[in-house]
Amino acid sequence: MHAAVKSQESDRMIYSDLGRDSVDDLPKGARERWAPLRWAPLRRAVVPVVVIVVWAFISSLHFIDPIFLPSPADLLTAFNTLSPLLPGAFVSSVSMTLGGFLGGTAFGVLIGLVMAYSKNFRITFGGILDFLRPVPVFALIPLFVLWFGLGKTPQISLIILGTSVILGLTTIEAVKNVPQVFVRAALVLGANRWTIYRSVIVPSILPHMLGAIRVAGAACWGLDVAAEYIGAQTGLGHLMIVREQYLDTASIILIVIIYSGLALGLDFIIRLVERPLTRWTERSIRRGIVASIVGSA
Amino acid sequence: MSKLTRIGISNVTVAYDNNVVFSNLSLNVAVGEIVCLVGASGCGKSTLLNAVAGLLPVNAGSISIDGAPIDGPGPDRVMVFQEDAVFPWMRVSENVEFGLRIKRMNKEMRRDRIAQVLKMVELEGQERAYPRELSGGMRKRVDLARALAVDPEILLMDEPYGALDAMTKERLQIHFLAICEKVKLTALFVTHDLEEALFLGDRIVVLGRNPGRVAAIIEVPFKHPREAPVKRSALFQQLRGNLSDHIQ
Repeated sequence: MHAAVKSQESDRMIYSDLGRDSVDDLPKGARERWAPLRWAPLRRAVVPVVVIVVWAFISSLHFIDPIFLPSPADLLTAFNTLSPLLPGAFVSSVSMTLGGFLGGTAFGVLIGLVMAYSKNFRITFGGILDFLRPVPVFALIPLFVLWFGLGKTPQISLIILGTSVILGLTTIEAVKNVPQVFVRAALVLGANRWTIYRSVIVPSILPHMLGAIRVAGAACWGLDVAAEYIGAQTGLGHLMIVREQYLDTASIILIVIIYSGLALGLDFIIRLVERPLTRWTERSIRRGIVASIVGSA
Repeated sequence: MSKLTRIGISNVTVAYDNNVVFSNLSLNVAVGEIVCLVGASGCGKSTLLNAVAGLLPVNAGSISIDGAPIDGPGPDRVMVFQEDAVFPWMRVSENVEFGLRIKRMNKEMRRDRIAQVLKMVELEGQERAYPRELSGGMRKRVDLARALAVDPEILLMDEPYGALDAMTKERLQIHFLAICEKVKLTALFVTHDLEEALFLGDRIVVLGRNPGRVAAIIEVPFKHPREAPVKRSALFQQLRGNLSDHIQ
């Protein structure tokens, strides 16, 4: 109930001519009767519940082949069948993907910072990095398998590469966008280039990097799946391909759901970690009229 | 009475792209002197200040401190900017000690210096606050505290009190005079507030534009220590009027 009261308050803070809810157009008595339906958690649950109900209904009619649309009950059966295999596959995929994500993020940010910091580095390596960057990372999978053999190496290399490309580019742009006055203030206080990067530039680009880190966090699962299709002997993606050969659609959908859950989980962790690091920015204001317009509320 | 020159600006020309901001500008600022730069917008006041800070290269002429030509920015000439330059990701105390850590001052001394300097700008007790929690005027005072902390010989002020209310402004102006007196600071102070220029400055340099140049230099006759009531004196107001005429 506490959450319900809060969300009603913030609804009221949004001036009516900036975000009209159709309920506002009803006469006062009707508005009160409909008020409970405006409770946010209820509204959020509507679409998922409707989707599941419609899906269960359609499969119960049996006019779509279960190979194309398994019923919710089929998913449960698949879960029971797969459960001995799942923990191993889960650990394998998750460790590869998280390892690649963290390694790729660190590497990408490092390369980005070095490119921004050192003119020599930019001139020497800038050309080749610009040339390699647009290469579609997925196209490298067969090449990596040829070079590194089947197994974990091509898989993790791919994830690291894909993640660093995203992070590297964003880092370079973020550094270029640091407000000049901060750099000037540090200069007149006697800071050298290293101190400016360490104490001014890196902290100030963190909010800017958040978007890229979340995108990379979502992309790395896709990279993992693609790598596993071709080169792996274990893992969730590998399991998917195996089940596909048995036309076991239910298992495939189940694993897709597991991947979604993993992506959501990583995104949640990223946002959790980011919060204390960006508490100093204005974006952490989550109420009021500006917040309602830019989508923070 | 010969006064040693602290800042020597000699036949300096500064140009951006193809725009000449000013050319052949010369000005000497003596040790312990406060020189206020005034003039209409676009006359190059901030540009000159940035050049003295070492943040802008000069196209011709030279700028020297105590006879030695400057070589980039440094903590001997700290600048307080017009924009909000306080680092928002650091607390007040971390901002203020930024320059002190560069000088490798130890933690004990840093803590004392931070307290001392925050007292000077009337922000005692705000060490743990983040800039986001402070008003614009308070942030400006943190900026000033950060500059004072490194004990510079020269302060370059770029319209620092523009955003403050009249009462705070006046208090800080009096403090500024006291600080400059105690530490024998030399200051170049850019302002568009003519009363502020007359209250703070030993000399006022009026910059003209098209072309950028020194249009007039006015000696301010009021003796130190100056107190707020001097602003109401007839002479003060008359000089203010004259100054205003010079700027047209």
